[in-house]
Amino acid sequence: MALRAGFAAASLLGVVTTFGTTLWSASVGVLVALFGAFAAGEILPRRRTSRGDS
Amino acid sequence: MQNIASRWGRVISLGEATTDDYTLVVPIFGDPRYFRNGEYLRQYRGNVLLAVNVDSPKMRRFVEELRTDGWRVHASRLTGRVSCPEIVFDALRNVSTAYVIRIDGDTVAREDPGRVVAAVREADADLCSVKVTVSRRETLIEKLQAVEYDMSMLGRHNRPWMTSGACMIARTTSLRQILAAHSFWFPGEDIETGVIARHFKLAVRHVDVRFYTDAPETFRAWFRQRKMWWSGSFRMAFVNADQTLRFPLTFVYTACVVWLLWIAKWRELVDVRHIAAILPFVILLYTGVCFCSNWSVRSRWMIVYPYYALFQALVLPPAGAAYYLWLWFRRGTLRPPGRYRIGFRRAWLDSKKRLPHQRASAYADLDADRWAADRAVR
Repeated sequence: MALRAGFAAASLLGVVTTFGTTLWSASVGVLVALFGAFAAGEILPRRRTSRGDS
Repeated sequence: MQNIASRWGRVISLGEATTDDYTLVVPIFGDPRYFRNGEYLRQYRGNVLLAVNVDSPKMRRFVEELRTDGWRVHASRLTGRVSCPEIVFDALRNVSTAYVIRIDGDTVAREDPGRVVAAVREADADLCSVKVTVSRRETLIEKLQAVEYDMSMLGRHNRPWMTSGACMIARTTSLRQILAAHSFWFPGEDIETGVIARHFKLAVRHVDVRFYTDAPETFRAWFRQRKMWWSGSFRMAFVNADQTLRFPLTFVYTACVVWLLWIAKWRELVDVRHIAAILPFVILLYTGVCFCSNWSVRSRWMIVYPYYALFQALVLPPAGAAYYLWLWFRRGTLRPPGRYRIGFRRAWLDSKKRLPHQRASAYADLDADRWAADRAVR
């Protein structure tokens, strides 16, 4: 059981860390989404404030 | 992992009791502009001792101005490369309270220091680290440092001996004896204080109170400060490896994961295809771990933090090592500088139980006099 879980984790890790696979694209997508959330929460409000918008 | 474990760490919490039996010792040297927390300290002026090193006409004038303004000042006359513990050690001769708060000239707190000291006294601790965090969070580099400080301070719950130079609290007799065994070498001097305290089997604890300090505002100032910190890390990991071995987890992490794996990290980066394949997943994992293990201090800036950490891990270790080697070269000795003065075998020095207060102070003062005479000769 443990061996199977180990193999499954290893193969998942292999897929995630292989350029162009679906899971690799998904992790890039999540990173981009995180950046979007960060920009929306931190950068955009600052720009609005510096422009004098309320 | 250590930040997850921080919730089970034994920390000292503040109570309602307060005390007046403490002195805030503020080491100031080089230039008067490093004294920036005057407004904050003014409210505790009766408990403040400004330890100023007078090595120029400018500093002499500064001392006169401070005295005119009503501050209690200890004027040291140290020459050469001066370090904070050296000035504090010199100033301790003018301290008559049972507790000392060593605080930098740019550090403040919201809590009453009397309450903090009362909690330390209640816990019967000899030396305490506190949570040091960034006071101004405006520029990008300040915000990243703020996240970094908040996260690393959680680690102090289980490693209270990693004292910060910005602020630490100690029993006066204990600090005298710790500093009498200090190397006074600048990079890494703050952690050395905690290491010596542990060496002497003193009670080293962490107080759950925040002190706010100024962090470098620009990338250039940050790089200069970090170069110094990383040379302190190099000193701790390799020059004093025999001492750092006492803290196995810290040693393995610092010497192996940070320093020895630095080469492996760069090797990974050389192959662009390989790095493009693994980096998104590694960063995503790092971000998730960051958020989960530091949930109590979570911040949106943790999304950007992995890139800052990666840059730091790749660029700063060699810069720190090079700075250490340059300091060594400039010193012109075969013996590497910054070796701790404590031996390998831990000594027992319980200031409270083994030595009565006055005797302990007398011993430390004797050491201080010898040291001052020695410096004068040099």
